[in-house]
Amino acid sequence: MTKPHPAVTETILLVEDDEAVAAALARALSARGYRVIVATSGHKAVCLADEHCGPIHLVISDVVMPKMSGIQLFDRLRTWYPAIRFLFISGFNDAPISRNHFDDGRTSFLAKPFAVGELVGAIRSLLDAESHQPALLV
Amino acid sequence: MTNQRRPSVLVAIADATDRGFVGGIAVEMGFPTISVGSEAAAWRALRSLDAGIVIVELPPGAGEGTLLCEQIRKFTSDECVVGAVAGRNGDGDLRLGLASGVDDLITRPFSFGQVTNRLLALEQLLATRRSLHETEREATRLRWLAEVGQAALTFQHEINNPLTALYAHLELLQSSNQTSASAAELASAVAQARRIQAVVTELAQPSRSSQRRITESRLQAAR
Repeated sequence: MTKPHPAVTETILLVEDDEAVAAALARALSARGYRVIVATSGHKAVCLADEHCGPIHLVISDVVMPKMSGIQLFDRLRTWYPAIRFLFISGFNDAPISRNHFDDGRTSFLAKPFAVGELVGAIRSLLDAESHQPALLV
Repeated sequence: MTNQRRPSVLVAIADATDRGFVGGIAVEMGFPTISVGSEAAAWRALRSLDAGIVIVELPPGAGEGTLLCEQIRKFTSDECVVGAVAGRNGDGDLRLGLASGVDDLITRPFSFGQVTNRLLALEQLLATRRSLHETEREATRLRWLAEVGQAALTFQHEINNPLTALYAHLELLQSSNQTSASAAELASAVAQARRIQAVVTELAQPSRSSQRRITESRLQAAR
């Protein structure tokens, strides 16, 4: 049985165009104590990030999405918030992400499908890295 | 080049002297050869011999030789090459011969050397054409495999999304209060989901870019 994590107070922006996946992951992460903001497209994610009052510690984004891909979203948000933590997720194991995206240690990739424990492990690796600060500050 | 590897030659010339001359040269060069004197005999021989090189007689004007050429083209596609012997070398004869599908035309009188060199050229043309066909068949096969691989990757993606949601839901259920019986059922459901994941991963494995095999292809040889 997974125990609640009352100490966790971090906020995650979850960007996933598959609504069933988004809903399931949001519930699972909420159960782990994270505050989760869900966007079902890259454009909505940009709007939500802009409107959100408070820090966003991490963005989890699907890679392949219509109109604005996860890569384009990453490039957009990184321009505005250089310190942003970013976790790409994709059902394509060969997702088109270049090595440059992972050079700074603030970005990672997790192939679908994954257990929630694996997802939380990837989240913690990014958030617990040195010099961690909230990535999106309003 | 051994005799076994040389293509068979069918010599279909009505004139007995020319037929014997050309057929004799082909035999001397090591080609398995059949010589016939009529279109009907040529047609029968073609069906039984699987000839790679056919030498036909191209009479002045549309006639038996041109019809035979057209039939050969229909029957063998491009899997054999056709050389024609003609009595004239005017523009009309050349046009007629090429239109009927011959690959080479030699005009009487011809020498031993001319026939020998023409047969060698036809043999080389046949080898090149067969190589091209093999390359085309391989390209078609690879295109088909690429489409299958792409379909497998799409299939993997389509399955991985619901599997991700399924894992999350199962974990939420596992974290809620449950009886030992339902816990066992949930553990079994997770195990079955893992099976699906393994199958999908294995299915798409050959399509992964890191698994691509690079092999040499001699496109220059297939012109």
